[in-house]
Amino acid sequence: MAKEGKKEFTQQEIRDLFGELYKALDDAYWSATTIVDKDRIRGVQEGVFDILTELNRAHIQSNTEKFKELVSKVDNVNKRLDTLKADIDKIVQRIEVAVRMTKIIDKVLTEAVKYFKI
Amino acid sequence: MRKKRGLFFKNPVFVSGILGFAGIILFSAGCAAPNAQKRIADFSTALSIATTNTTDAFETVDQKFYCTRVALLVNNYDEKGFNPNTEMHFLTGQDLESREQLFKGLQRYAQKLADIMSDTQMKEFDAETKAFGKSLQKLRENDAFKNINSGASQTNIDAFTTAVDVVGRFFIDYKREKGVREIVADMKQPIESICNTLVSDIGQPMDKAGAGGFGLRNQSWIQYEVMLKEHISFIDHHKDKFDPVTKAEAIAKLPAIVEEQYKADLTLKATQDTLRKLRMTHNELVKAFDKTCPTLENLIAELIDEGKRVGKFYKSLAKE
Repeated sequence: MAKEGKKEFTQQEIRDLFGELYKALDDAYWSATTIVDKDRIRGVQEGVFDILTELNRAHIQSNTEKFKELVSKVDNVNKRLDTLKADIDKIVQRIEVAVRMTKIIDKVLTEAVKYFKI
Repeated sequence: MRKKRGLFFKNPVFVSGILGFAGIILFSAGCAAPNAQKRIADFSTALSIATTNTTDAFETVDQKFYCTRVALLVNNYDEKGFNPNTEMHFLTGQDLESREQLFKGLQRYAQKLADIMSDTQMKEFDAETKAFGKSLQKLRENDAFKNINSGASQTNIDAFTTAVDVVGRFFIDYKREKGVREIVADMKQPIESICNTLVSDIGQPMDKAGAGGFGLRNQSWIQYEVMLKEHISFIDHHKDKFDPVTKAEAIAKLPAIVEEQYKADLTLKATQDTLRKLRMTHNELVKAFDKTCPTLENLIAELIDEGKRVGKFYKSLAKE
């Protein structure tokens, strides 16, 4: 909870603040005429670059939890696809069983002829 | 009793009944979308390209982050030296892992869809019914069987085997269409969330005032600017020590960095567009079994073309 009178900044507002500072330094860099001035501005801008990098990283990290949930959803769907494939395989297997059964009947009948009068 | 058993293959009513049923099924199966297999296989290709491009988006930004860090290290070495704890990568650990897992999961989803819709199971089924026909034929020639079931003609056995094949194929078709439709419909929400979140990951660069930037595009944009200034600084500090050719090469690199900055941003933006299109295409995928679905076919074709084009950009960025 923010204290009364104090504004709580969103991630984007913080990025915008540092973004504006970064742009102001950028303008100053291109306006500077000496290497010494350019180096000085570049040094400060390097620090702002590190902060902006951290803020961009934080934005991507804030999505990571969502991705973790989505990974499990995708895995569940993949398991359902495996089950569907297995169900279809069963139809093929039923015919395999029928082939085996027919072969066994053939063999049993051939053997049975030797012992019984059919 | 013996006579009743003998009716099995020689009863014309039974055989014609089976053939009639098979004929109705053959007609119904003939009405099913013949292109569903191709559409789903193409979607699988498009999804695979889109996930590869998104992986490349993260890798490209990370690779350029590394280059920027090296440029900073080179210029600051005299003052700061090298700290092995310096972060040389933009993203590491679970942030990359969770995304890699997701991309692998999506690719498996696409592959499994294509596998189920492929000919493999149908071919196995056909081979098995042929084997079934041959074993029935062998059984027919069995002397003992002839005594029990005289008159089982070859024609009737062939008709029966064909009917089994037609009915079996119908059930495979029915089961996979029903299953794939349900799964694709249930995957609609996760795919939407995945695409939206990845689009958000890629983000946008800051405007001229420095506002509105976030994500990979913002990072990419500013790191090219830092890289450019570091190269300028290096040239400024060492210009008197360069031989003319090395100096010319170092200076020529400056506009190339600016050009690459724009190219990288456009490529990242194109990746976002591909992800948005992927979401739309998946929403249309339930129509893959319809007789015609021009919207789906166009979206898939566009997705593949754009995906390949974006992939080429990433390859060229990696070389630079």
